[in-house]
Amino acid sequence: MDLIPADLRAQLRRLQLRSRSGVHGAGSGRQQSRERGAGMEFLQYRPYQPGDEPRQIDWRLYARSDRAYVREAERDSPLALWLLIDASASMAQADAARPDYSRLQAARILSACLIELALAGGDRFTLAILRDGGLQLHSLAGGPRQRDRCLLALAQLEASGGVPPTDACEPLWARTQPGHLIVCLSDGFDPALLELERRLAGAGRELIDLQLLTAEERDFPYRDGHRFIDPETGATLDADGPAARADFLASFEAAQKERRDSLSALGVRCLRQYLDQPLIGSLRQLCGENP
Amino acid sequence: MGLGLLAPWALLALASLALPLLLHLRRRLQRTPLSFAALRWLRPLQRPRRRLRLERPWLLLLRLLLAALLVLLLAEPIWRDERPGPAWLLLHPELDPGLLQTGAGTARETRWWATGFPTLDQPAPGSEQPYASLLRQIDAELPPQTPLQVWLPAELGGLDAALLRLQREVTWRIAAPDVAPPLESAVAGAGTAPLWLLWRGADAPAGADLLAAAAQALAGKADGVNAAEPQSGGTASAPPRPSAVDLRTLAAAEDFNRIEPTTTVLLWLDASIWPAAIEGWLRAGGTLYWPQACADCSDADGWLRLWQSEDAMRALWARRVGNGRLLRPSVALQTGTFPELLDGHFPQLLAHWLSGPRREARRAPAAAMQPLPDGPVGRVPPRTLQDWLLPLIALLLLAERTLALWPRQPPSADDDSELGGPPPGSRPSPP
Repeated sequence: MDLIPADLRAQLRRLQLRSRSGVHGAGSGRQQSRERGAGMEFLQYRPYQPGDEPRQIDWRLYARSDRAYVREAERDSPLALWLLIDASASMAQADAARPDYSRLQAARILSACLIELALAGGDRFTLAILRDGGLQLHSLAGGPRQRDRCLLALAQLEASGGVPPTDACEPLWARTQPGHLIVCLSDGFDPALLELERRLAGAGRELIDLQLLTAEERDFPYRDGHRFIDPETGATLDADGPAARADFLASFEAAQKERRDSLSALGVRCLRQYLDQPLIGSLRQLCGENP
Repeated sequence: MGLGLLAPWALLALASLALPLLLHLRRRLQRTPLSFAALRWLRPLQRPRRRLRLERPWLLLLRLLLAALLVLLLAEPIWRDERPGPAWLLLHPELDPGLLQTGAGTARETRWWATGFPTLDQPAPGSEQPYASLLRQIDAELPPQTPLQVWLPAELGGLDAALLRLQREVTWRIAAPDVAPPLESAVAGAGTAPLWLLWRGADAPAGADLLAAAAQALAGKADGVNAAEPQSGGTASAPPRPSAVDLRTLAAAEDFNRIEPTTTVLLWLDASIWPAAIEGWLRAGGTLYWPQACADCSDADGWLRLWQSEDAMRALWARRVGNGRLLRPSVALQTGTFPELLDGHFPQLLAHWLSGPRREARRAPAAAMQPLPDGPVGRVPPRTLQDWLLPLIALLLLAERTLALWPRQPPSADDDSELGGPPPGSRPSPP
């Protein structure tokens, strides 16, 4: 089972994942030899956290201090890619014209594409999933096995519940470092997620906000009265489609603009992907190319 | 010509048309649930408008039509067609349909003149028909301008007490009277049959001369009426018009045989009882007058008072004997006791006595019964429309049930935009 459609995979070959900051060298990090070489330069020890692989633990230090430390190394890889995926219930929404293509599905495909790009570039990558129970973190690594682990996690992903509060995302703070590239895939409706993004961006992480919106949120094409249900809170609202359209579009657009402005002020690149548009456009933007 | 309603108040039931309308409107007011994550930017100000959108308009149309037709059925629609139809021809059952080969004219509808008006290809019905009533019926049922032609034999039966007054001019064709039965007297009585006065002995009894004079006065008008005068002695030669019979010297039976067999009235002017031959004739249906006064006749004995004088002193009693009648006065028919004998109108009184009960005029010459076109003009009886409304309603009901129970079409692309996405939590399959 391949998440990425064939045509999209073909288009991916011309793309290259880049860090905007340029800290890690302008495109020079794509050589695989640097990944495989002995250039793993020791950087620091940090305490073990659940989710770390046991082989990363420095057992010699454990024997001396009776505490588990993970040995982190500065790699030569120019990029560390974090895919921060919103898995709240609102991500399950899809357009009526294509009911099996939800926001979450688009996020899956985009994540798979980015992982492929990172793999091609020799970069490290991992998933950070915001779900009902809290933050689900995977270890940062590279290579085909890491890709397969991530794809498996993506396939098992389900959209339910809401976004965990910002405080529950503490491990993300500890695990990301300044200069890491974080791509946030969400609908951008949740204030908690916005707060998390602002903090990450404020802390020097390079953040790309990729907002996934349905075509109905852009067009509001309802011609009848409906009972609108918020999938996360269960709140309902009866409204007439044509009567509510102009007001909704105006206030929705204003809210999204405000959100983008606040993020852009912190240096966050804000992209927007509508579900009825091809994903390659967002991917090109994300890679710094003109769409 | 036109549509009419026998029960227009039933149109009030047209209010039931609102029922299918309400049925089809009700669901539209329900709100389709829709998962929508951007709910917080939707303001609760715009309530869903009550849009008058009708679901399944064809089914609704069918139901409205069905309801309207049911109401129409309740209102009992009728249809009057007053256009002149094809000309009608009625043929008397005694006539041969082959007659119509010549001169049936432009008549399109040729029927037997019989109950139910069967067509001519059916066998001829019996000739005992209420012809006058049938003619009035067909006159009332046909549109006023429809020509009507009637073929009938020379004599027409089946008449009733009223003249034939119709609303249209009837072409009255009398066929050759080859099969016509002998004409029966419309009014039976003493006026046409020979009248005999008989007595025993040589001398005429008292009052016989007056009776004979009255009978002679009656006979003056009708040739066949004879007053038999007493003739003394000997045998009378057989006269073409027997004038007298003397029963005194002849055997009763032989004498009586000399009376013409068509005699219906006999005046037995003798105080003694009449002979056996006359008794048999009387019981066979004759009318016998016997002047023997009957002072104690009464209704209780079966006597009937046929006539009574103005002072109620004199009367004439009648009684049924076999099939015949016996007449007797209450007092002796003499000038002293019966002053009407001397009256100038006595012959008319005598004729009244002797005439039998009036018989109905059931048959008449056809020419005399030509219908008069001055009858009351009636309207054409309407035809009810229920005969074809009921199958139509059944058909519509079938169509409505078929359409209502037909599996719903999958929602079109137009309806898709109104449906929500997958329910929250459902796991979409990869594209």
